[in-house]
Amino acid sequence: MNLWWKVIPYMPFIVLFIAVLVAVYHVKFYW
Amino acid sequence: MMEAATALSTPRPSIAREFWRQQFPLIAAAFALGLVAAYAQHGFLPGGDRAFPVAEVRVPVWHLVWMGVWTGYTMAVVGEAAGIFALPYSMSILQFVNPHVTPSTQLLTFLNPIGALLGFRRSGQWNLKFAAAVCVGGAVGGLAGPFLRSSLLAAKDMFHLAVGIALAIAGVHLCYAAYARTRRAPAAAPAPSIRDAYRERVSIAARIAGSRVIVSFRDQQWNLSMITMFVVGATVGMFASALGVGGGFLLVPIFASLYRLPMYVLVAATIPFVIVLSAVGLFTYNFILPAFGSPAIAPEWSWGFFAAAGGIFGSWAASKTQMYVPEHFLKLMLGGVTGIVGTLYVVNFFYPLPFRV
Repeated sequence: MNLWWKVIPYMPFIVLFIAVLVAVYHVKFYW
Repeated sequence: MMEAATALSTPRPSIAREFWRQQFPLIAAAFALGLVAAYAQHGFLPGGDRAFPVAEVRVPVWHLVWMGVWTGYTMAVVGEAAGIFALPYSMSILQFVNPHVTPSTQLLTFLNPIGALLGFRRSGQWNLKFAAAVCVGGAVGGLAGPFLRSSLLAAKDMFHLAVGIALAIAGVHLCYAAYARTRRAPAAAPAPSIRDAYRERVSIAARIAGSRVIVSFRDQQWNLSMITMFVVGATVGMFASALGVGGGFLLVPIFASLYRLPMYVLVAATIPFVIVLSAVGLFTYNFILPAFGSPAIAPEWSWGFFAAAGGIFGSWAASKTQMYVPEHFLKLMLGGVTGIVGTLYVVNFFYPLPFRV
């Protein structure tokens, strides 16, 4: 549980990083 | 510092219960409505294999839910709504470029803040007298904006230009907000009144005196002109509903600079404004436009519902973790990205770029 709370400050950056990966995946396979 | 550290090490046990009892039913309802809307509107479930007939693009359903999650989460962390990110993402990455993108995103901006509205109402950040004038203005703007979309902004390049300008404004606002707060240490606890507004039940009081509304929160008081609030609400509402966004990216900086209203008081007006504006905008796109001889611009209903299912979760998650993230750095980063994308849209209008935006 403590690790989870340590990750939280970085969560927006992790989410944005995954969003970039998903966007790249979409461009590669659906464009 | 000690208090912030204590809060980090002792998560409240009620969060899981709050999610399952209050947020999960909303998320499940939005997702179920997406399924129902898909079958009612098209007779099948579009996705990665079969294109959404109105949007004319193939996108897996999970990607729409994810779009709602990440735009709702990141934008709510910095006090903005998902629409200003979801709209360019839908246009540039998902290639949803026809006019139906506007009401489809408007459906997201209508549903997304409902969870937040319930949360703020529970915490006491709610006053209808305070919100009334700007909401009526938003309703008027929501009636006018779709006509702007179906006339002046009907062409794809003009619409991209308008979205580009809106993104550039949002980018500058975010960067400015980050710059203005750089002196505050990232890990420092918020001011007592802000902290209380997030953790305890508070109360925003308002009374109407002639054409003015006097808003008070704790020992602070603001004397606001309802006429100005109405005019600002109508103007912002018109542009926002023409684009298909919530309007918070314009309303928040205007109110913050005009009246020096802090964010925890401002949300009592801006969240109801976004919901009213989006509802009236959606109604106008579907029913008022055809009544005046323009063809209706129907949303891709399932698109909006699927994105909203993710968006409700994202904005709720942001409301629970907002105090623990380095907001100023995130604002600078998101402001930079938003500003760059907006600038590319504007440049592409005058000098076509060698790549798709």
